Amino acid sequence: MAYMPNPLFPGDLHDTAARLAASLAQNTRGFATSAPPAEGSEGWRQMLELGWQGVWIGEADGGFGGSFADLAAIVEALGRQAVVSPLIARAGVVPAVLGPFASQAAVRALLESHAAGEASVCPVLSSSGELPHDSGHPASPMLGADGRLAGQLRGVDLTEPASHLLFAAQGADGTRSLVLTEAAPLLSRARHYSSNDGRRCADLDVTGMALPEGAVLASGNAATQALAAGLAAGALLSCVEAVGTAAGLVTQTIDYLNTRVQFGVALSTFQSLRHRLVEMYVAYENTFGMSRHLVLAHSAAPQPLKDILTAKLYMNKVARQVGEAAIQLHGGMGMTTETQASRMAVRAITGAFDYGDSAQCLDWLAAHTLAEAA
Amino acid sequence: MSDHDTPVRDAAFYAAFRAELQQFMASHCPPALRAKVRNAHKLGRAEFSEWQRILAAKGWGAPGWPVEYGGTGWDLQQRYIFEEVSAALDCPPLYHHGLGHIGPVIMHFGSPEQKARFLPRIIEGSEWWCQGYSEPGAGSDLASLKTAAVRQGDHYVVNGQKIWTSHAQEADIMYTLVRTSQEARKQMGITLLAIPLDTPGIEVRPIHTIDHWHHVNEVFLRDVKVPVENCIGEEGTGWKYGKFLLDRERLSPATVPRLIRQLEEVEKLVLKRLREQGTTPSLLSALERLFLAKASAQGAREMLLSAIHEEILGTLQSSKSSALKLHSSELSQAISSLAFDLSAPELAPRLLPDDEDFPVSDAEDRERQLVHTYLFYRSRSIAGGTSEVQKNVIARELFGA
Repeated sequence: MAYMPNPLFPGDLHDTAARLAASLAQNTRGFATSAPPAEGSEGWRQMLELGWQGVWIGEADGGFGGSFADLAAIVEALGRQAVVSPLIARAGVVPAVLGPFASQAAVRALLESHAAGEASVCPVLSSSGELPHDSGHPASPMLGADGRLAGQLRGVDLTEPASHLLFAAQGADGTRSLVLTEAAPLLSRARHYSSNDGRRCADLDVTGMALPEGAVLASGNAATQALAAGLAAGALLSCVEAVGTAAGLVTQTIDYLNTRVQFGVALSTFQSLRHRLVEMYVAYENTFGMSRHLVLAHSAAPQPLKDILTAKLYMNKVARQVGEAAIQLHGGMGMTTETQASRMAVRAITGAFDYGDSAQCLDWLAAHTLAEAA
Repeated sequence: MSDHDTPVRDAAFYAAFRAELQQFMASHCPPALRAKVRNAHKLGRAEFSEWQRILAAKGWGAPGWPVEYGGTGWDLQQRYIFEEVSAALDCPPLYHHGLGHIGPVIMHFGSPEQKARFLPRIIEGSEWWCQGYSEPGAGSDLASLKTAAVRQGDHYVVNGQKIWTSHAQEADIMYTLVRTSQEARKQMGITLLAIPLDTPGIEVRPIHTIDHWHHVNEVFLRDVKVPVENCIGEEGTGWKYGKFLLDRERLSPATVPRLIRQLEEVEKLVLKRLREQGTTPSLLSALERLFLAKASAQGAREMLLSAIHEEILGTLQSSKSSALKLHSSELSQAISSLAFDLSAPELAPRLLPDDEDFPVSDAEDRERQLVHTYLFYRSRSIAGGTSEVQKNVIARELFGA
């Protein structure tokens, strides 16, 4: 009997997402390198129709009122086919960051249309400043006293259309502000890229842009806390996605080794290949348990960022291990973008940079631990 | 898994159960014993049996056994909580050869006389067992064992050699797999005997291992006379009992809680060094290993809980229990390896003091034991089924062949 990994959170949401993911995977050849249609890809439009942007938004704010684990069920199922979409950002990070400000009428209205799929708020968390940032570029744009921005928003995930942007900006005195504004004016000076794993990203030059009134939702502590909550949600969902992708990679690699014949026998008869697959599987089972535990705990009450980044640091390592092993075990086929497992492996390896790459997690955790130990 | 009817039990029931265990263990486990466990000392019969007697007096001498045999009748969840509390409070682990291994085999396959003779003393901790399975030519390939027992009247006469026999130097009885006939299949013709170690013809020789601790021995048997009533179950079907034992033991609820406790101690050591030496690059690298081990230990705990759940439902696959064994072995090695890197530069050259009475600080004692532990833990991926054998078991299930 073929190996079938258990869902992280079984149920209708997982099943629906798994069906959608399978149909999208069937129609995908290689990585996308061209601009998406203005109305969004077919798969994304289906996700919006299914209300997935609002799964983790409370009913009072027009959402589905599901738990964090409900959202995780979807993310894991999509991860199993490495579906390229900004779902974690828009269905996970956005409610985490905007939730505390839902008492503001404009935010509440926007959350409602976000949940309905009429709007799509795109968070730019690389600018949050929560994690150490050492790329040489300023972490976030500056916000002048005149309400004008200076600098860049880098690595904005525009794989699917965004109606609004949500990001941090820094005042001259270092105070961080949380900014929510319509996307269109900021998109005028954009440089677009295709990522290595099929996403469409952009760097936006926002210098001189004037923020409309009300765009700054919060400053100081309130902004920092909201951004940290967004980072926590993003990092944990990124772990969940990687667990799903690892499950998919284990399954697909078993199929490949059982099918592919060399020297007159199936590759799955070679012990060295079997053992490497087992190492992938054991790492998967281990991170499955770790992620499931943390998601359930986070559903009940927000978990400390320390615990989430510890998990993310470990998940990053496992994702790299599993991705590299899958490529190796597929031999030459592992190098082609035609092979779904290869694209998934690249996604697993690249996803480890989202919401806390290994260096950021380690630096943050070390600083935190040292402060505690002192 | 448990042999009694388990009533519906809620979270409050288990929380109260946990509190009761905590209260008892904290107040009844002698502080000197807990210090030994905390400092990762090698435990022998003296330490195990001291705690066993205390538990037996409380009625908790056999947490995994059904009530009719003097056990507590606890379900698997309670068994797990017992292990968590016990590990967290640095109480000694249960001695597995009697309680975990041979006891359940006697319960299922032994005669009424054998049950009455052997089981109560296992619970009391008054009789000590060891396992005579491996032989020089039969390790992972256990069925190739050659130690022979020939029936002569009301005795078997046993000749052969056992190896890797842990605790033989302090045990009273060795449950032993012997060959009583040559059959076409090597798994046939094997018999399980309880051999008292004071029987003439038995010689126990220590094996000197790299950890400088004494665990394992060679046991030589020359014309050893064993009464026929010491045959457990039927003659010739010993393989079945051996397998029963291994299947029962494939889920070891103790490993992960102990490992989590060890990790806490290693974390303290890393933080102590950071306070003493500041943030050197090497200590930052130690911190990274610590973070990774913590995340992985949390995952291992969930793997165990999920395996316990599946075992209760009867759906646990051997790939999962083998994955848990494989992962826990590697993780415990990673943790002990981290501790070794911190302790060994100072204490490896001073591992064995000539003057054992020379007073040492608690910290030095602990770090010295960590050197022993690292070396001992190399056996984690060898004993009880090597990691390579576990990988074969898992692969067979994943690939379907």
